[in-house]
Order: sequence, then structure tokens, then C-alpha cells
Amino acid sequence: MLRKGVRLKVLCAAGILALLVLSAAPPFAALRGATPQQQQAAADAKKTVHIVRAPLRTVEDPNPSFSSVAVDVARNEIALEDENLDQIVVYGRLDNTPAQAALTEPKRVIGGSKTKISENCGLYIDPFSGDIYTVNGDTANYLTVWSHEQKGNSVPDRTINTPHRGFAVAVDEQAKELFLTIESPPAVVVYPKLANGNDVPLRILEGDKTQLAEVHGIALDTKNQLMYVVNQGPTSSNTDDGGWARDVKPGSPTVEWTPDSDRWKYLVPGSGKVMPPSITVYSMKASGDTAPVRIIQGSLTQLDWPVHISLDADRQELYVANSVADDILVFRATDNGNAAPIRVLKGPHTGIGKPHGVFVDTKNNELVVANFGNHSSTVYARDANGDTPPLRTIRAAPANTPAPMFGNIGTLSYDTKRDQLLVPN
Amino acid sequence: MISRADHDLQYNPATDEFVNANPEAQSVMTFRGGANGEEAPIRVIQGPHTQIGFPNHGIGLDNIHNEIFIVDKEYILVFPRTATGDVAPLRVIRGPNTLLFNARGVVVDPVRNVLLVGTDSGLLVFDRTANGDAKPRAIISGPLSGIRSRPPVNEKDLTEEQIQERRRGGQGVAIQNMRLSPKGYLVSVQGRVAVPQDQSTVAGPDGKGNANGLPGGITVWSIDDMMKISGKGDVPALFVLSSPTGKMAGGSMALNPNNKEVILGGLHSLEMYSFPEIF
Repeated sequence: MLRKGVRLKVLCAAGILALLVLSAAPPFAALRGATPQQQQAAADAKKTVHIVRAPLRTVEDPNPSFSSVAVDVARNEIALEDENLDQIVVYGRLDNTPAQAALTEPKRVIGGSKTKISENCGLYIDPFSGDIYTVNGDTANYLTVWSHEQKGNSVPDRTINTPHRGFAVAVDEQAKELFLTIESPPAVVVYPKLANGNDVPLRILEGDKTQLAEVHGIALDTKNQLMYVVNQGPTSSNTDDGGWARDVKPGSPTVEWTPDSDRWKYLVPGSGKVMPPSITVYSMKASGDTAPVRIIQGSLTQLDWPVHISLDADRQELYVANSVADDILVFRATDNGNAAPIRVLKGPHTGIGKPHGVFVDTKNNELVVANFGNHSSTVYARDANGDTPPLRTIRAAPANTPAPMFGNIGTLSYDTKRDQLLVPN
Repeated sequence: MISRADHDLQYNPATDEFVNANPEAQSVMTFRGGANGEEAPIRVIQGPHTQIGFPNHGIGLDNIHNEIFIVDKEYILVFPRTATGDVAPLRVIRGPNTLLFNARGVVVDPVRNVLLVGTDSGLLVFDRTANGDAKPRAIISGPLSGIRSRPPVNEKDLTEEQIQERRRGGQGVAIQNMRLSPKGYLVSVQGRVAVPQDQSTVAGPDGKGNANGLPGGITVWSIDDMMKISGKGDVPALFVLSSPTGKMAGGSMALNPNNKEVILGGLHSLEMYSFPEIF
């Protein structure tokens, strides 16, 4: 998916040609087509005609697409989730791609078949150890943890098996608790920070009263013991015994999560609805079907497919990557109801393109954005507003390289009238 | 109103609309064909009367009889094609006789008056107007078709070896994405039939190998052949198109009749295959 909110992309079949990578010719002789005689012969004999044929065209993006960002302020590094190539890339914090350069090479990359990284969409860096926590979304139900020194196609230090559709991760370093959001059925699952394998979570926030709805980003305010959760809006109700908590058996140290193939059994038919996108606020110790203490929601908020969120605890400001609107919204952390943002970073000079990740670096007084739509990460002054150019840009592809932003393409349709492909992600 | 986990989207050339199932909000939305940006759907079927539970894979459109079929794992809901709001279905195919276990893809053939449904029981062929606890007229699976039959069982009754075999997928694969070609062929990307040994390096449609290591590709069956079956049976696929590289894009598929192409979508990529034999 266009991680992880799904958006419909329309590709003009003619326009695709600019992106096409023509496949190589078949490497061995085989049946390249089926003649009418072969077809008839096969039909007569009730045999199958086997055709080996290379694709005429392939549309794919060979470049990284950034879905989440975190700054390691102690080591002066920026880590980015590259969801397109299933890897984590780490750059120097002060890297800045020159205008004439094709791209900036990362300092290190964690990626490859051994890493188990897939459709990675949520990132956290331990500020003390530099350990990297990364959430696999959609195609793999686990979260992996990497020590700062790891790179290449290696094995993670730890793997936490999670419910399907994990999205974002945050850690309360004081309480040593790890918070993981689950898109749908929506939940916040809280583990011990050092959880491993099938370890059981400490608590789960879920249920109709929570108003969680296709959950995405999460931010923690450890001083005020508040949790901020981003909701995109679509949701439906679980049956009475249908939450993720049903998988947690009393007294058991481990849990086997219900596989996605069976989750539908615990939904109430006809209960679905689409709520306006929101930021819901809870006590950090909230558990079960607990209502939020506040909700930022409504037309004035400008929330539109919000993805990740970052809290400036010093100034008590919330930064939201607002994907469809191509902007970064800033709210007061104390806002409630239909509140307008106090700042909006938006415009052609910002370099923002379908932002998914956002991180407030309070030590260096900067704001870092992961742009899913243009192969870049852009850095601004912490209080940037309006159509402000970035202080620095890390580009992972030549400038203006198109980004198809493909995720896990679950269905396709062809518009015969317009010669276009409809591609949900 | 579009959400994640969309597994069926269909353009309807007869009405210049496209229909999208939203499993998170339990809705089926219809947009005008040229919809762009944050444009609202022109119709939404959603609400407690609809009985929609998890419509994540199958939408079937019947422009002749003006109906829309929605597959919901263990039942099928049939609405008027132009239904909108919290409406009750016209018909519900549901019950133990239906063999609708983990139903996914669906195709309506209004010419032959049948409904084809991909399930864990195999490919089920129903009369188009089937209602209630209806038996399918045919259940297609086996080595010739490459279609898997894997009815639900209690794993406690199986040996560990049987459980692992079952989890690997057993013989053949399930049908998920299905389309009807202009020639009246049923097309799916996940079918499998026996392939000559020298061509058996073909991986699964996800490019990572089938669950059981067997070849995969774009598979095409004749619905007329299926119509000859009564009860359980197996029919050979007409064609299996695979890639010489051994990898193909994933399990989503569209037909482009203008260019006689089959388009596959998967993880981060689209592939277009020429397949004039089926158009």
C-alpha cells in the first residue's frame, strides 16, 4: 500500500512508457506463443498449453521511498525506512545532496533476505544505545531490533512477533515500555521494551470507546504521561470477544496472534463507518476499551490521511505528516476538538512530497521529514512555517525522478475508456 | 473513504464507473470513471442492513441483470447494481451446503448464467440466481486445473506433517483474483498446472516461490468446460503463461482488452504481458 494508508493511483497507460524497464529476452527456448493449431490440438487432447513469455513492460521504482524517519542525535545520524526496497538507510545528520549530484550515498544500509525487513513503515531509535526498532507492515507480522553497529544483510538482534498490520513504534524509556500501533482492527499494543519472540504484551488499548480508527502514528509525552495516536478514519467494530486481547491467555508468558486470515471472524457485519481523521489522546497507561481524554478532529484541523506524528515535549507542539495534503501540520499538544493548526509547512519551495515521516530534533532545533513521494528527506528549522525551503535535502535519486509509490498492490483495474490503470496500494 | 487492504477494484466500462470494496469500513463504493483527487463516491453501500463484514476480495458486476455480488468470506451478498446506503441485500448465498469457505475472487457470467467463486473448497460454480443455502452446481479442483481444495478442518485431528503440508498450501493454489476475458475464459494469476520439467523453475506469482515450490503463472480456464461438470470435478487449464525469469508480479490482475494484455501487480511493481490468445 502506499504505506499504510491506501490511495488510488491512476496511471495513464501511455504515460507509463516513460517509466518502463523493458525486460530482457527470454534466456531459453520455449513456447513463445500458442498458434491456433496448437490451441486446437491442446483443446482436443484436453491438455494445457504452456506459454513462457517475458513481460512487455515493467513499472517499478529502483529507488528508495521513505516512509518513516528518526534522528539519532547522539551519533548525528538520520535513519530512514525505505519501504520500496525493504531496507533501512542511515545518513549523516548534516548530509545535504548538492543540486548537481544524482544522490547521496547512505553511511550504511540494513537490508536483504536475512533481515526479515518487509514493507517497513515505523521507526524508533534508542537515544542511549542507538538501537533501531523497525515495524514491518502488512506482509510480515513482526518488529525487528538492530544494534547500532549492524549493517548489510544480517540477522536482527531481536524479533517481536506482533499482530498483523503493525505500523508505528514509540518507546517510554523511563518505564521501559514499547508502544506499537496496529492499523486494523485498530489497537495500541504495549510490550516490555526488551520483549522478544512471542512474548505477551503488558496491555492493549482497543475497542469502540477508544475511537481508534485505522491507526497510524504514535507519540509519547512521558512528562505528562500522555499518548497521542493518529487515526485515518475507517473502522468497524469487533465482536464482544473479538479484540486482540482474546489472544492473550491469562498466565501465559507467550501469545499466538490470530492470523489475518481469521481476523474477519471477529468483526461485526454492518458496523463499518468512516470517521473524520483525528489525533486521539490517552493516558499512557490506558488499557482496554478506554475513551480518549481529548480528540483533535474536524474540518479546521486540515487532517487528511495523516501518517506519522512527532511531539516537541519542550514546546508542547505536535507535528503531523499530512500525506495527501502534502504538508506538515503543527498543533498545540493541548488542543482539543476542531482546532486549526498553529503552523502549516506547505508549498512548492518546501520540497515536501507525500510526507509520511516526521521527527522533531529538539537538540539541534530542527524538523526532519521523510517524503514518500519524491525519494527525499528534507530538514527545516524547528519552527518553519508556510512555503519555506529546506535547510538541507537528502536525495536518494536524481532530482524530479518520478515516484510511483507502489506498495503491496492488492488489486488492479484497467479503464478501457481512458487507457488508464487504477492501482490501489 | 478509500482505505488500506483493498483487494478488489473493478472498472465497469458499461457505466463508466469503478467500484471499490473497503474492508475496514465494511463498504462498497462506486466512483465515476474519471474521478480524481478527493472526489466523493456517487454511491456507498454500507450499514447494518447490508450485512457486509469483510469484503476484501470479491466484487462481481452483472450489467445485464443490474446486480452487484459481494464476496464476504463465508457468504455472498447480492444487491441491485445501483444500490446505495444502508440497504438489505436481494439475496444471500450462505450455509453449509454452499461450501463457501474462505471465499475470495468472484466472477459473474451473465451469458452462461453462472457465478464462479474462488474458495478453499475449490472453484465453485453456482447458478447466477442462487440464494440461501444453495449447493454449487460444480466444484472444480485437482491437478489438471491446478486449483486447490482445502476445506477447513480441525488441526487437532491432523498429524504435524499434515498440518505443515496444509500450511504450505498442499497441491495447487487457491483462486483469489479472477477476471472474465472477452472470449468467456476465466483468468487468474494464481493457478497452477503441471509444467514440463525443463520449465519448472518458475516461481510463484509473488516471485518468492509458491508455497509448495510448484510453478505458477497466469492461468486460463474455459467456463464452458466447467459447465460440463456436475458435482466435484477437474478441468484442465487452457493456458498457463509464465515468465522465463522464474518470477512474476504478485496476485493482483487486470485485463487490458485494448492491447490484449494481462497486467499483474505485486509488491512494488506492475508487469504487462501480451496474451492475445485469450482476447
